[in-house]
Amino acid sequence: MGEFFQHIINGVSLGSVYALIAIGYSMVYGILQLINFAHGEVVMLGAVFGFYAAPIIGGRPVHPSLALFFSVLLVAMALCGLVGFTIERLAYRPLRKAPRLNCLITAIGVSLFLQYFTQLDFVFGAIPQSYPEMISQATVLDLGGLHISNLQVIVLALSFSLMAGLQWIVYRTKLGKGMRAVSESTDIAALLGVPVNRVVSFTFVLGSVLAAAAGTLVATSYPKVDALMGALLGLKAFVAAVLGGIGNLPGAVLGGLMMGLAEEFTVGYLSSSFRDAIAFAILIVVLLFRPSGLLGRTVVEKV
Amino acid sequence: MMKALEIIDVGIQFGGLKAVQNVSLYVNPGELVGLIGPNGAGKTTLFNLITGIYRPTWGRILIDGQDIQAFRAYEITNQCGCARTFQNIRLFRNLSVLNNVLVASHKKINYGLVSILIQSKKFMENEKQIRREAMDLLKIFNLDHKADELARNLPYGEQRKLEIVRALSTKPKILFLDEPAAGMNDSETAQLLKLVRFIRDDFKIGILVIEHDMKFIMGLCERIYVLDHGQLIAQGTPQEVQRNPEVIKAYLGEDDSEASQVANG
Amino acid sequence: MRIRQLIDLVSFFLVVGGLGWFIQNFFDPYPQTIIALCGINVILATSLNLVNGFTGQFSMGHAGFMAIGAYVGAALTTIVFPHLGLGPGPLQPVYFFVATVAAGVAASLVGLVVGIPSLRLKGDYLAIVTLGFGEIIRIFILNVNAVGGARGLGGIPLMSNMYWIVGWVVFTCIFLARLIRSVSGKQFMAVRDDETATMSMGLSTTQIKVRAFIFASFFAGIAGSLFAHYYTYLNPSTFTFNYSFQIIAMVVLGGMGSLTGSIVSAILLTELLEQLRKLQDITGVDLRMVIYALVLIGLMLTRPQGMFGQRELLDFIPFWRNKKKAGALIS
Repeated sequence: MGEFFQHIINGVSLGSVYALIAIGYSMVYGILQLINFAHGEVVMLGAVFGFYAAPIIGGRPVHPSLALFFSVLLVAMALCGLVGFTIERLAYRPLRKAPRLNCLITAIGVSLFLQYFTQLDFVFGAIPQSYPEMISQATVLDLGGLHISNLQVIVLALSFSLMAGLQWIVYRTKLGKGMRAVSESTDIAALLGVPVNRVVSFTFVLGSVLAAAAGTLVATSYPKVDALMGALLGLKAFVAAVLGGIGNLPGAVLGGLMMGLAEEFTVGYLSSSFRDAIAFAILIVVLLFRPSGLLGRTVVEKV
Repeated sequence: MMKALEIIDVGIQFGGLKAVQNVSLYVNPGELVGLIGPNGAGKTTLFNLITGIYRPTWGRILIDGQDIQAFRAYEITNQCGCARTFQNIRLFRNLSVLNNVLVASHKKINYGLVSILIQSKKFMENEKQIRREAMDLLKIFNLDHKADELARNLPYGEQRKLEIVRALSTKPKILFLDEPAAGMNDSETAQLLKLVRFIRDDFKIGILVIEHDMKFIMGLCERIYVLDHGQLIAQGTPQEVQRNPEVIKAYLGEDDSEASQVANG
Repeated sequence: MRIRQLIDLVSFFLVVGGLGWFIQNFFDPYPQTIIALCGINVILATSLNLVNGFTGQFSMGHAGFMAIGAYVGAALTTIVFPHLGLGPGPLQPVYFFVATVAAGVAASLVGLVVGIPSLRLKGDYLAIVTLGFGEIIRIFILNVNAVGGARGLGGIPLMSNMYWIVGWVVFTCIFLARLIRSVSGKQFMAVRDDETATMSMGLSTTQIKVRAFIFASFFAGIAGSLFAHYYTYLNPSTFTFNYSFQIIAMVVLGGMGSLTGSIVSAILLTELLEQLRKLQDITGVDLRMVIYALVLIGLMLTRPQGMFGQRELLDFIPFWRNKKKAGALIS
C-alpha cells in the first residue's frame, strides 16, 4: 500500500515537470495553431545552459548550494527565453500567413536542427554528460516507508509556483489579456489594437522560460544531459498537452500530471521497458477517440 | 410524377440553437424554384442538410423519391442524383478546368487498377470517351478553349460557371445553386439568368437557387420560398411573395434597398 | 491490345537491363551502393508524395512501412524459405521477387490498418498520429526476438542488385505516373484541394485517402525489402523518425505534387548526404543532419513549393506539353 502512495508522489513529481513543458505547447498552439516541435529542444537547452553556467558561476569543482541552483536556474531561463524569442522571430513569424503544413515542416526542421547542432563536437557533443550536482539528495520525509526527497519537494514547489505565476500573468496582466484575445481570434484581436507580434513573442518567451525550468529540474533529478533528451521529453509533454486538450492551459497541467502518473504506474506495475511506449499508446488512443482532449472543445467546420 | 426534391418538416439543432425548424418544400422536375431570406436565415444550412453535409435532427428529405437518410453523405450525389455549387466557390483550384470536370465524371469510369497499369484498350477507350464528353460539356458553356487553364486563374464569373458545369457533369436530376450571382454586376447577372434557364430547358432538371439578388430571383424563378430565422414564412409565385407583408417585415431592418427591391419587384 | 503492352514490356526490360548493366560495369562497388540507396530513396519519396503531395495528407511514418517490408522480406528469405527447403539455386530470383512482393503486401496491410482510423484526422493531428504509429512499429520490431530485436538481423541473402533496384524504381514511377494521369487519379488531387467539394461530387474522401495510403505503403515495403537484401543486415534503429524526416525533406524539396521532383530530389539529397559524409571524414564534424534541417527550413521560408511545385519535367518539353493538352488526348 505504501508502494502505491510512493508511486503517486513520484508520478506527481514527474507529472509536474511534464506540465511545465506541456503548458508551452498549449500556449503556442492556442495562439498560433502551431505545434512547436522545437519546444522539446528548448527544454534540452535549459539543461545544457545550466551545465555550462554552473561551473562559471559556482567555480570548479561545483559545490552543492541552493543559491547556486537558483542562479543557474535563472540563467537558463533567461537564455532559453532568448532562444524561444529568436526561433519565433526567424522561423515562425515569416510563415504566419502561410499554409499550416509549411509551418509544421519548419517546426520539425528547427527541432532537428537544434538537436543535431547541439550534437556537434564544438557545441556540446554527442556524448551524454553529467549535470553538476547542485542539490545534495536528502530524504526530507520518511513516513512509514514513504520517501519524499528534497529534490521532489523542490520540483513540486518550483513547478507549482511557476504555474501560479503564469496564471497571474495570463489573467492579471495586459499582455496576458492580449494572449487570451489572440487565442480567440488573431484578426479580431489585431483590429482591437492588441499588439499581436508582441503578444506572440511574449508567449514564446514565457513557454521557453518554463521549459528551461523543466530542463533544469530534469537534469537535477536524473543527472544526465544529452542533446537528444529533449525529443522524448517533448513528445511526452506534447501527449500530455493533447490529452488535456491542446490550447487549454489547465488541460496541459491536468494532462501533465496524468502522464506522470501513467508512466510511474506503468513502470511500477507493468514493466520498465514500456516506460516510453505508454506515451505513444496514450497519444494514439486520445487522437483516435477524443482528439479534442479531456478539456478541449470540438470545433465544427463551417461550410 | 415523382418530385425531384421533397423536404418534409425538416429541422436541425446545433447545441441549443435550432438553425432550421419545420421546413417543408418541394421542387418538381424541371421547375425553377428560389429560396430567399435575410442573412443567417438558414438557407445554406438547409442546402447542407439536403446534400448530406449535416444530418437533420427531425424530418425527412427525399430526392427523386428516395430518402437520403439511408445514404452516407458522399453517396447522396451518386444514388439520388443531385449536385450543388457553394456560396464560396469550391473549385479544385490547383487542377485544370478540364480536370475539375473529370473528377466529377467518376461514375463513367469502368476500368480497374490493372487496366491503368497496363493501359489496356478498355482503359484507353474509356478515358478518351470520358474526356470527350467532358470537353463537349465545356464547349456548351464556352469553357472548352480554357480546358488546360488552372481553375484558380479563371476570372471570377467563369469560376462560378465552371462550378455549375462541374456539378452538371454528375448528370443530376436536381441542381442546387448557392448564391451563384454573388459578386456579379448587372450584365453578368443577366447572362447568368439566361444560363440557368438554358440549363433547365436543355438538361431538363429541377433547380433550387439561393440568392440575395432580388431581380435575379424574381426574374428567374417560377416559385419562391422565403426563410427567416430557420422557418418558412412565405411561399408562392414571385408576385405573391413580393406582396406578402411577412416577407417585407423580415427584410425591413435589413438592407433598405433589398426591402424595397422585394416590395417593388 | 497486344501491341502497346508488348512495347511496354520490351522497353521495360531494355531500360532495366541497359541501365542495370551500365551501372554495374561502369561504377566502382562503393559508388554503386550510393546509387542503390538513391534508387531505394526514389521509391520511398515518390510513394510518399502520393500521400503527402498529391492527396494532401501529411504522413510522417513512412519509415515504419519500410521497416515492415524490410523485416517481412528478410524473414521470408532467411527463415521461412529455408525452412521450406527453398534454398539458393537457379530459382533464387523467383524467391526474391515473391519475398519482395509479399513485403509490399504486408506493408500495405499495415498501411490499411493504420490508415483507416488515422485518416479521419486532419493536418497536424494526422501528422502526429502517423509519427506515433511509425515509432510504435519500430518499437514493436525491436521487441520481436525472432528477427533479432535490438541486435538486428544479419545474414540476409544478397539477392538485391542493380537490375532489381532499377526495375522496381522504373515500375514504381510508371505505376504512379499512369495512376495520376488517369481520370481516376485526379481524385487524389481533388481531395487535396477541397474535401467538401470532392464529397459533393459523390466521392468518398476516406476511401481515396486510404487508397493513397495503401499504394504508398506498398512501395515503401518494396523499398524495405530491396534495402534488406542489399545491405544484408537490418537494425530497427535505421527506421526511425529520422529516416521518415529525410524522405519528407526529399518530397518537399522536389515539390509536393511533382513525381519528377521527388525523383530528382531523392537522388540529389542522397548524394548530398554522401558528400557531407566525406566532408565529415576530413573535418571530423558531422554536419549532415544539420544541413538537412537547415535546407528544409530555408525551403519553407523561401520556396515552399520546392523545385518543381506541382509540375512535371515533361511539362517543360513542348512536344510532351502538347501531347498532354486536352484536345490531343481525345483525337
